[in-house]
Amino acid sequence: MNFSFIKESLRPSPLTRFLMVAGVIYGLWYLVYDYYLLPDGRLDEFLSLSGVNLAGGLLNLFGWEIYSDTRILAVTGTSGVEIQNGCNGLELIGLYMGFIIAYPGGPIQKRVAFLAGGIILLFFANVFRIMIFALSIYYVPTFWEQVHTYSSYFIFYPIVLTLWYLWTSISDQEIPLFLSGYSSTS
Amino acid sequence: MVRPVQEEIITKLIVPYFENKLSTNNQVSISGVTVDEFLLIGPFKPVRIELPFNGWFWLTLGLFIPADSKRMIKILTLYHLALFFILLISIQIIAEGTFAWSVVLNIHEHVYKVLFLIIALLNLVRVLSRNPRKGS
Repeated sequence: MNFSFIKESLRPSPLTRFLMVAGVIYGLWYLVYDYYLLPDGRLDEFLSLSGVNLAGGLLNLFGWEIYSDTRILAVTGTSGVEIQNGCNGLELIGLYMGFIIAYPGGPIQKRVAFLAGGIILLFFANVFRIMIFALSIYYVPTFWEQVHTYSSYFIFYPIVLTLWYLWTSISDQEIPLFLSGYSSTS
Repeated sequence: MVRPVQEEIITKLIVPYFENKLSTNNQVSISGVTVDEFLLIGPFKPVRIELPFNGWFWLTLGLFIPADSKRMIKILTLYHLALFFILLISIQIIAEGTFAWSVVLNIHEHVYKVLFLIIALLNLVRVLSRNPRKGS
């Protein structure tokens, strides 16, 4: 008997397959990040220290008087901000990478270049975010909590979503076809 | 409007309930309570318990609305409603000593938000690709 129709009906749609791959990648990323990268600390330390150094240098360049010591960056006269491990954009970089790796289509060289470009862009976005933190403590200290909480939504996510969108355009996949097994409206 | 409600739920309901319940079990405790989240600490990687209808919900909803994805808005909302119960039951499971559940909960915390965000983006992309901007 030919059971190929069963096999066919059990085969996940391209969208389901993509979401499953993305889910596995994000799950693995969490395990690698929380059980290896974060305890190891070297990558986090590099991102935190270089982020603080660059942000301090740029603020200085634009005329603010700053105080910087390892992970602490302050506009002179304020307590400043300390960039701890886990707050330096590394998790966001993982979020960005997961989609680009999982999304089907697109030549490998382009994918690698897009990954590298995106990581660099997110690194500089984090430098900008650290500058905003230091300035917010100086100018609007009462809003520090809000600035800290919502900065990701205004700085990181628009960049990540735009890069994802660009990758779907660059990638060879035809989006309406890719989503064909999936109806969004009822 | 959402954050004050979340604060009330966290500080007046969930945290006191579990602090009371966990006081007899010195292995698991609650720490780092903020407006919409707290940490479950114990002999496992800390588990961040973020209340449903958090920033990710609104971010994702903000993409589903222009994409007119009514079905996904419904699924997202129901998922977040169900999360209230899933999280409460999960805390209970961990508090009773099934520490391996913390890994599952942590992975879920990282994965579900991103997958909803990706689905929302792809929906928006589909709408945008159906209605390309006309050049002059």
